[in-house]
Amino acid sequence: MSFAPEGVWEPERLRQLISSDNYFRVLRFTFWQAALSTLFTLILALPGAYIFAHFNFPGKNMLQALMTVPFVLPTVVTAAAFRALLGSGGLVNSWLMTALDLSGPPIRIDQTVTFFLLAHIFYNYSLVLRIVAGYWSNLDPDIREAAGMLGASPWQTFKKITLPLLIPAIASAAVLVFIFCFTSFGVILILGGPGYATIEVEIYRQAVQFFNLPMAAALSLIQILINFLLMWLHARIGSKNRVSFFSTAIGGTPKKIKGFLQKSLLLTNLLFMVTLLLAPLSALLLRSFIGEHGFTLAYYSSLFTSHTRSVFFVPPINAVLNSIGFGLTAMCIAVILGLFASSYLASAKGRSAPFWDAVIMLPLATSAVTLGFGYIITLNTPPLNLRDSLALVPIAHGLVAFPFVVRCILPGIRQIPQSLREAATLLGSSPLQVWRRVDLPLASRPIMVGAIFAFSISMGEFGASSFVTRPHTPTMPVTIFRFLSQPGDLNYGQAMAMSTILMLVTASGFWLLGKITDNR
Amino acid sequence: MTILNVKNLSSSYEGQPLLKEITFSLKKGEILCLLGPSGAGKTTLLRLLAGLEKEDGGIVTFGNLNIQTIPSHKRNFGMMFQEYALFPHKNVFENVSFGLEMKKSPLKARQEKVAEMLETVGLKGFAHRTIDELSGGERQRVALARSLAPEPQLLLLDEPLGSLDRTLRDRLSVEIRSILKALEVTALFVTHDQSEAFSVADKVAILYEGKLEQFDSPENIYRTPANTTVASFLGFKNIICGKMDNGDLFCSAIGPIYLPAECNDKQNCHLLIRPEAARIIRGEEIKEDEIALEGKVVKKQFQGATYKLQIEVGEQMLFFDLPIDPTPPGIGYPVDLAIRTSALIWLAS
Repeated sequence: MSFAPEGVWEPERLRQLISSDNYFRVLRFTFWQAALSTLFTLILALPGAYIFAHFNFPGKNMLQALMTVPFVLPTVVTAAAFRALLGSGGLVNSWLMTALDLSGPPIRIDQTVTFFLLAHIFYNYSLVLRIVAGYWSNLDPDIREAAGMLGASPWQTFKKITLPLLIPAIASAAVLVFIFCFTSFGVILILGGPGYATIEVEIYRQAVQFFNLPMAAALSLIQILINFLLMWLHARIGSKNRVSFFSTAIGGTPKKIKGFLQKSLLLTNLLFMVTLLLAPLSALLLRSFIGEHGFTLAYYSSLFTSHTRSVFFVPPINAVLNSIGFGLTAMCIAVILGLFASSYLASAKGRSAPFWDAVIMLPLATSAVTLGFGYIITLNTPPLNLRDSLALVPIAHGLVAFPFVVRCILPGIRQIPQSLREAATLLGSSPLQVWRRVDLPLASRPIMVGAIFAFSISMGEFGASSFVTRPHTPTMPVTIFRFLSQPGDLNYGQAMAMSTILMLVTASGFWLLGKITDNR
Repeated sequence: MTILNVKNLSSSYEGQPLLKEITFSLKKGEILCLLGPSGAGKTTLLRLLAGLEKEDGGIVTFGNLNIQTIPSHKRNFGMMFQEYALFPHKNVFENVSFGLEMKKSPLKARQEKVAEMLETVGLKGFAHRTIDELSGGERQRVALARSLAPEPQLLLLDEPLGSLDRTLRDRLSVEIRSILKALEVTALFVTHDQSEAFSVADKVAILYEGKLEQFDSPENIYRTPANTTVASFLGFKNIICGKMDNGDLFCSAIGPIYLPAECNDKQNCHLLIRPEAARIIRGEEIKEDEIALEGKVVKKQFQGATYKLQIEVGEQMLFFDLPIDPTPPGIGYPVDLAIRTSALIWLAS
């Protein structure tokens, strides 16, 4: 479409785009903010990873489950939560104004880089922590002790032994965070304001505001290309070093906290985690219960009624059931596709493996906006006219979740020793039987983990949903977005209430995930 | 010259005692083997000396210096880990030279030392191999070279041969001893394998459930196990419980025997008969330093140089290694045995 607007081959438009200053500015800004976000997230998350990998403390599992919530929280909700907390009319500012008797809000980060950098850190902190902590805890502690016995001080051991060994995990996490920030959309659009545009935001503006579809398509292509290269890089790091994307299990034998230094390190980090992760979410929770006249349940109760003046034809609470239904279907689609893809990738050898790995990860790199946009363009002509079908939502969600599922299942299948399959073959199993009787049962846990991830992603998916959901069957994030875009306190409160419900459903999913991986 | 002194060393984990009041000392250049079943506290003792764990109480001095407050990286002790713990991101040269690097020794000196160490362990020309390319035995040698390169004052080896196969183990245990002796290194060697301990050690310490049961030379440990725990750990089966009547009559399941030597606790005696101490007599008189036993052959197992015979004496089973000439009687036949009294040992219970 970028080459042939109105069905005519017209590369001129693309040349025009590449030669424009604006394009370079957007590209430079996109790279710059992604790099900055990645750097800050890494610096802040590495001490947390150390603590999670090495120590046991009360509430660890709970915190781990909670920390995954931001990652699948719809961008709209995150943006709303940060505004509820730190915006010019947010909780912190109004408290400070009352407490210090100020006339204006003391924290003014609305529409600044700081605001969306904070949100990016909020989003990716737990991702880095999970990947690095999982890998770190599986490093042999003997190796560290061996360095100590050879005369290396703790700092030298970290610098010369631990850090080099952690590089694959850190690099893998960094590339992922970079990709996510590179395609960041909702956060920048809402918290950054009109002054900032990433490629993704520019695609949206070109497509929705200026109806310049060829330009939007051209930008999408460039973004896909860059993302594909990044994904390929990520796959190369991962396949060599078996960095697990979502290894929830932290191995090794975590120790109890001892001594003043460890205690203060733990406390500082926990305080930081709780502030970073819980403050926006609690602000959200508080706002869902506090109206103009103090405590109220009105926002929740009004979710069950269908107002005539409302933006919905059905009680908003139906969205919860819609979301769960879509989520389960999307989960099945993603798991079945993910299983086949993982089995193929696990058996693929040689140089082509990272390439296919990257191809499979492409939906992850292709932003949801591009994906939804693509569905609308391609699926509206026979024989595949699904544009009005109810099936479109789960299919889109399944596709978004698919790369995550592969990332969960693939390491599990790669870990199964080839000798087990060979033994089964010599005992008379056909290749299909081997797959069914050896691979499937041994990878059952990663498959479960992938399934819950797929479900949670479907619950929170917004970008593609905003294009493909039908008005009478909205999902929860779409409902929240509609509430947010309407004026009035009741709408805002209902958005907060719905966000709280969504948050709870997602958190329960991850709590379940923690339970499953604990019981092995 | 005594160099390592351990006094009343104790340790516990979550209320469970791991080591109970361990006391021993070691001379410079000696090799001590810590021998005991798994869970006896051998590795804990080693890690305490290395400074990788903290003791509950006791005193450890090395060369008249209390080392308990010195962090492990400043003790200048070497340690060889069970799974070797080679640095996977460094090649053989970088692994072996790491300790020297930490001592800030110049590159030239490091190269010479590494070459010398690799030659000592028989890995000349391996300097630029990666760890992945090495076999189990080669890794073991690299680990040994790495721990020896910085010339540690004390070398600690934690089951260094544990993951190798039997043949390689037998060969390497002899090799390790000759390397350590050539370099005059004081060493502590943890193992659960008795033959490995006997072939490597100058001194053997038997640990059992956190207690130091016996500390002696390998020969003395084998000849005179201190108590029933040590004897059964060493694999002795002929341990007979009984009591003394009328001064020198030992009454037990094998019947009454007159014994010249006496046990301490007359009501609760444990007699060990070593398996190689018997000979078969066919009608002739026994010698003055022998006692006679009568029994019936229950099992007979050919083992090459010897037969292993299970003989029912009175109500107890005894096991003896007997020469293949003259051929011992077959299963079910009665047998008369003469046992050297020097092979009878009273054990403390």
